[in-house]
Amino acid sequence: MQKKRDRYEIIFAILGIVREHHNSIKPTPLLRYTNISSQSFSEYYAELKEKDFIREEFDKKGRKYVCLSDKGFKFLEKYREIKGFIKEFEL
Amino acid sequence: MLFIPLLQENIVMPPMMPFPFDGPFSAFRGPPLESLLIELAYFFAVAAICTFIYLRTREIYQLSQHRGVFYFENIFLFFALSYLFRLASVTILISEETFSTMLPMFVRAFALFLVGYSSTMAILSLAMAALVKDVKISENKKAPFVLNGIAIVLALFAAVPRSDFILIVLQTVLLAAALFAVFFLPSKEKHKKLLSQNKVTYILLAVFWIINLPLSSVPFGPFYFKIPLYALSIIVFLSIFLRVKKRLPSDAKKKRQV
Repeated sequence: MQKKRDRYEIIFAILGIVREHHNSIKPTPLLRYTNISSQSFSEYYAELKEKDFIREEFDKKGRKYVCLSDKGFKFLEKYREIKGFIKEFEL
Repeated sequence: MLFIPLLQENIVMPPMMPFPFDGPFSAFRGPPLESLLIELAYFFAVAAICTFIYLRTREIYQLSQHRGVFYFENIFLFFALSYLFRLASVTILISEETFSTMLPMFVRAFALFLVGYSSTMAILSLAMAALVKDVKISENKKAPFVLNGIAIVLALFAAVPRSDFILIVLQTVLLAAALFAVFFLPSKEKHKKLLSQNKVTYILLAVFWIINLPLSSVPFGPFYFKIPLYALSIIVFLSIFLRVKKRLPSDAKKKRQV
């Protein structure tokens, strides 16, 4: 059985999916790709928005798209360091 | 030296107290300048290491908002402050001993309060960093306020009677309670190591600080004891510094590797 993903792995996955889709994806496909429950997704989504990792943009027809902020890109870049650091110091 | 003109005019000097290391150990007393230089060198070494670790982990915390990283960076912020205030206390004592002056009591009490507060916060942060995986309370956003409250109360207990001894006793009890929590609280991990490298390092940091406290009230204390102790303490800080540097290389270094 596959090991349950931890919080940071899920955040990394969500941000990674947005980046893979040319930094613009609608919330519903994002939920589908992340492979978590819609309730968990709503919590992660709210947290990422609150912490300024992602931002929402609207096209002319008023459709919502999710994009990464600079902080989101930086998190993706530093993710392995953060994981390594947390593991090294058992935090 | 700056305090002398002010004090000599206003205060009638009490008779000099006998030096605690007089007697068989008096030969090991250092002259004031050497004592001050050793304290300064020790302070700069520890402060530089702590500042480096704090700044390197700051960015990681800002990105991750991880509670463990928060307590980890706080350890070094508060240790840097503790050693700074400790240096201030030692300088006051050396000035008083050298120039036979006495500063107003509130200055000593305030210095002791600052030392007590920052070092208690450092010890509490050590405990929280060790417990963050196992204890839910460390995730609580109110926990830092509670820790600050505990540190202020303990510092006041020591500062009001101006007693280093009380601070040492309180921090030893605090360390014992933290050790009990670290070793005996049930862990979420199935195969938890009783003694890991991190736990040993955290314990050494706290123990060196507590041993250091009485030494700061004996500024001309025995060099044969102080120098090896300071060297060992720096080695412990240095070991953490090297591990942080390895895990979080600077951006310039990463570019060179690419």
